[in-house]
Amino acid sequence: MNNMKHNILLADDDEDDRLLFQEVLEELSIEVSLSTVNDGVQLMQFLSSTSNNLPNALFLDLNMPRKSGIECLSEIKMIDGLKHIPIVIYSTSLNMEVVDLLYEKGANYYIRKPGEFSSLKNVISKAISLTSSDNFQQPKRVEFILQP
Amino acid sequence: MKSNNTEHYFLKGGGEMGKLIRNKDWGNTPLGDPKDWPHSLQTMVSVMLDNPFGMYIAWGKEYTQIYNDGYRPILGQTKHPNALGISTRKTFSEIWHIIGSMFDGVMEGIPVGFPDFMLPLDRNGFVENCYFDFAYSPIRLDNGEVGGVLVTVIETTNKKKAEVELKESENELHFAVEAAQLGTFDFNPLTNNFSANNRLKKWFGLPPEEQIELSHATDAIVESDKERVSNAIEKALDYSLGGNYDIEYTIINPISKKEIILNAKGRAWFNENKIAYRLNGTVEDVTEEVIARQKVEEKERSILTLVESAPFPIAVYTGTELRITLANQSIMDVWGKGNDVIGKLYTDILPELEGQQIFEQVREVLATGIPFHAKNQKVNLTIQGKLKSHYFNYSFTPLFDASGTVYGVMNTAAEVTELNEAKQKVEAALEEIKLFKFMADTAGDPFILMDEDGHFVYLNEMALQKWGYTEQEIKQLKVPDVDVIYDDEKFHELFKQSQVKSIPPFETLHKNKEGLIYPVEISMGSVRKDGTLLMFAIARDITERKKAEEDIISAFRKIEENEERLNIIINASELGVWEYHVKTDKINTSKRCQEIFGVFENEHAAHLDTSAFFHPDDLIVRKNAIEKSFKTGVLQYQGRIIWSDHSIHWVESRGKVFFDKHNGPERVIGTMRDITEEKNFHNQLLEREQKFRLLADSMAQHIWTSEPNGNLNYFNKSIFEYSGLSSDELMGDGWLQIVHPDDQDMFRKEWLSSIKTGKDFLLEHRYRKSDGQYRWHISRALPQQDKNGEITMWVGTSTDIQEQKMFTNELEKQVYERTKELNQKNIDLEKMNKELQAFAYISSHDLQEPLRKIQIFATQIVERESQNLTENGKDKFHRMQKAANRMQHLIQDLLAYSRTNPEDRSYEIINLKQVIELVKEDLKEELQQNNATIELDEICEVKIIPFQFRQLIFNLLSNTLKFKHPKKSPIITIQCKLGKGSEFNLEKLSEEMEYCHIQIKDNGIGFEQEYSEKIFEVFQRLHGKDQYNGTGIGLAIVKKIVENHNGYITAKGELNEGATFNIYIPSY
Repeated sequence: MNNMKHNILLADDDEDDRLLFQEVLEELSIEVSLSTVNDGVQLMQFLSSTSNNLPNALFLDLNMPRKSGIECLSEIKMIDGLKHIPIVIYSTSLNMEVVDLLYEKGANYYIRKPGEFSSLKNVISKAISLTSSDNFQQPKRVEFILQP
Repeated sequence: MKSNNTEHYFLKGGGEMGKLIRNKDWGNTPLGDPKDWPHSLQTMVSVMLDNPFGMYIAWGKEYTQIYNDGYRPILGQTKHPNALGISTRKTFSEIWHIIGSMFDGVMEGIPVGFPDFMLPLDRNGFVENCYFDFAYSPIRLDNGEVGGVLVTVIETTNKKKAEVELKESENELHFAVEAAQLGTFDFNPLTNNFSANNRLKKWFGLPPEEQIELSHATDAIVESDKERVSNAIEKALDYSLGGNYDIEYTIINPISKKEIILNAKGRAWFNENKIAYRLNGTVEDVTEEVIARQKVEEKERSILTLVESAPFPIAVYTGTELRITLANQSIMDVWGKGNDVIGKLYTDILPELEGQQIFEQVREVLATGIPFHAKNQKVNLTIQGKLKSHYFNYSFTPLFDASGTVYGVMNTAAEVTELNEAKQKVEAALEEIKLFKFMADTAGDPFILMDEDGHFVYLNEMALQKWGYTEQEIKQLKVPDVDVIYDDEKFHELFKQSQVKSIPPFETLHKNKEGLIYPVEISMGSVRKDGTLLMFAIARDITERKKAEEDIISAFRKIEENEERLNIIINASELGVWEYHVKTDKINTSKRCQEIFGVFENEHAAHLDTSAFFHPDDLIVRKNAIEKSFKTGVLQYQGRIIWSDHSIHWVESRGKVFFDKHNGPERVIGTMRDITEEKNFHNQLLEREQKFRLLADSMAQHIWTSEPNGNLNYFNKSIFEYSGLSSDELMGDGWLQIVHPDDQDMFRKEWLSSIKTGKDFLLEHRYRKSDGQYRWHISRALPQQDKNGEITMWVGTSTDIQEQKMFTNELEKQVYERTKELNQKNIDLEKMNKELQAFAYISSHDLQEPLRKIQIFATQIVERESQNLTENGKDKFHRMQKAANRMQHLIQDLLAYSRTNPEDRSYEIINLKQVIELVKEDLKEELQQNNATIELDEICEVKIIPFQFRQLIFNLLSNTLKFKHPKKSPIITIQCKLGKGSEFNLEKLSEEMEYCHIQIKDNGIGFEQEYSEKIFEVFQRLHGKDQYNGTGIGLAIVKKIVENHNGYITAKGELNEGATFNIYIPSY
């Protein structure tokens, strides 16, 4: 990982999940600053207002009020200034048709929120280290789903 | 001086300079007074002043300067006008060291020229670079010596500009070549010398030398292209072929070893002998374009593949002739015309679409460019020679070329036939309800269901009983076997009619097994059962009714017959003849006359005392008649005679009285006729008429008769009772008043038509009862004809059919209500389905969400807080986690089960091995952990929904691993092979159908055979949760998937020996 301080943005409407994510980052003890937004509309507003301090990675929940994760993903990939941001889908469900669609739309990784805290730690750590590598690109389809 | 100078001819004109020269006091200059100037100077000055070109004279050793207007700007403002009349040495002192020797040289007779000399001049208000050709030439005196220097100036600015532009454009070309990153080459075929620009040399890895051998350059071309390139060069150098050179080839740079694709273009130049002396041109690096082109082609190919493998039908028709230019497997399957359709005409491939508006729709889209969409459209397609209705949602979308013209139509479709078939099944079910309801309610009469050929499809108990046949026997019979009126042709006609209109009840004759023929009244209708058109009939035995009717009719008939017979009797009767002598009171009788009196042997020969025979009552009649005859001359009487055997006979006597001269009666001659029979018949007739009336009056049916002209003249008692009207009120047209006003027109029309044509009258209508209510009747009237076919009367009956009619209405109402009910149920079902889907979504997401929270917070507590828990607490906590995990699996499995819907059908034909390999990958770790082996026997291709089948194999394999034998490593054997349904000896399989039999066998703990059905039920488990994990859904999913494939699965097990799963799915 780079020594540079890492900016991570989490878009999730679930308060518990945001708390857990925060706890994971604290336990991982890496130099990371976390911003959170509660839904898709907030996410798009956040991204358009902070053009000079864009996150290094975006963790995106799918099922959010007002604007869904898929809609956000599509919009972000259409905007030149944002489309390079690595996007990690962060969802409860795992529907293969939806997964395929997300991969096609350019999402970088897919995390199914695990039921164990240690797994959660593992998989978030993995995602951060993968997305922070230089020259980051969308992985192969078989590597799309990150296993905890 | 001024005036002097003006006078000189050689100082005339010359514009501004002319003026200055003329005003110049030349006496103060080395030239002196102009009049003393040497002749050649005078001439030269004159020429100069008249010349528009710049001219300048430097005269004498002092180089005294004279110049014209044309030269003035060249001197510029610093030197003019002071230069006039002074020495060049002075004016150009700053450069005299350069030009001095030049002037001196000219003075010695050597002219000098400077072409394109640049001078920046301000002539038009701005400074510009101007170019001039300067020529310095000697001016000779009359003696041949050089007297001075003439400088003439010609401006070449424009020429120079053109040159500069040319140069610039050359630069531009060079620049263009550079900018286009073009290589240039020049090849001399005569010397075989090849030159090229640096770029080309770099590509080819050539040395920087100016010229090299051609072969040196071609070394870099890849082997496969070398011959092609050399051929192209050879062709370009052939004068007869036009000299063009254009080729694409690949080279490998000898240094970087990189492949470069080049496009070379050029032309050859030929001398007068048509020999090429030069081939030059450009070379372009097209590597990227070619790669891009290949990518596009590849993409096009992949789109085509996509279209071809699309699960829904796609085709493209181009041109007005509707040529099929693209058709995927799916649409070819729908058409059922094989796969050889591309390039053929749509109209040729599917001629059955003619008249179904399809071609018109496509052409309309072609013509207008407006897409066409159809929903739930019935399309009849001939597949394997059979025309069958299919239902589609389809679209015709216009395809536009670059210029915006429609060049083709894309056809996409989704088949919805199954949906419609389901709908039709519901309708068919309704028909059946209608049919069997009808049957049940009319079971008192024979019920007959017939097919188009007249075979009996179904007979109720009553029909069999009535006809006396067994069910077996009746199968061999057809309608004409029991109905003596109908033959095959007539039945066929009736069957056809029954489908388009309702057949009014009619009468026919049925014959039972013993040959007894009896009349029946038939009510019939058309029904559809399992898609087959059938006809049903209810045959009511009307023998009794008929007999009553016929009695009436025959009664009438007999009256007529007997009248006729009477005539014959009269005509044929033998008359007895007698002669009575008044004076003697003696009667002579003929033999026949005696016979009439019952005397067959008479000893008194011709004499018979007839009076002795007469009945005492009639003797008086006779006496009176005789007395009367003596007055009138004519005798006629009837009377009874009593034979010797005491039998009474009626006789009629007629005679003529003959008078004597005194006008007294002398004798009477007459005839005697036996009229006994006649008399008896008349009495009988009266009796019969009475009997008919009694009969008619005793019947509940309405009976009436009419004259041939339609005037009703008789009504039975039942009519009076029903209508409450008297005979007078009904006679003639009076009866019409009891016909329902709405039915009167029809009644009158039909009745008049029957009277006119003599055809039977038959009509259903309403009659008013005395209490005012109308009841439905069926009225029927048959004409009675005499021997000559003349109608003598009509006999009609009217039967109350109110109950029957009400029943039919009730039936229709019930069917209608049932339909409504079913429709509602259908809607409810659809709603329920949607709710189920919503439930699946809820369980997929919303239910998992809180569960996951429970799990994750639990793990946090275990990790961080476990030291605060007692051992018991930890145990309870662990159990809680286990329960949560089980719930997670349950939700996931339920979800998988609900997802295996038959709607998601997208069949592919793939090798089963592929699916197995994928599952093996999924289960890699488990297989390794359990040291399991999967053995594949014979494996074939199967037609399956891949993702569902993957789930199926996954579930079966993980099942096998879960229930492995504790002491054996799992060995799983999988095989599949094709075969006809009949080979597998299973009831559920169609015998003729081709199946793929997949067998998965293991050596695990197996199960007891009695559970072989139960294991496939949802939530059925043979083991406790503590022994084996699981939700009890896995095998239920397997079964559902097999059923989605229209297949069948069985399981065979033996405890501790292993389990075998046999799957049979249709192979195509």
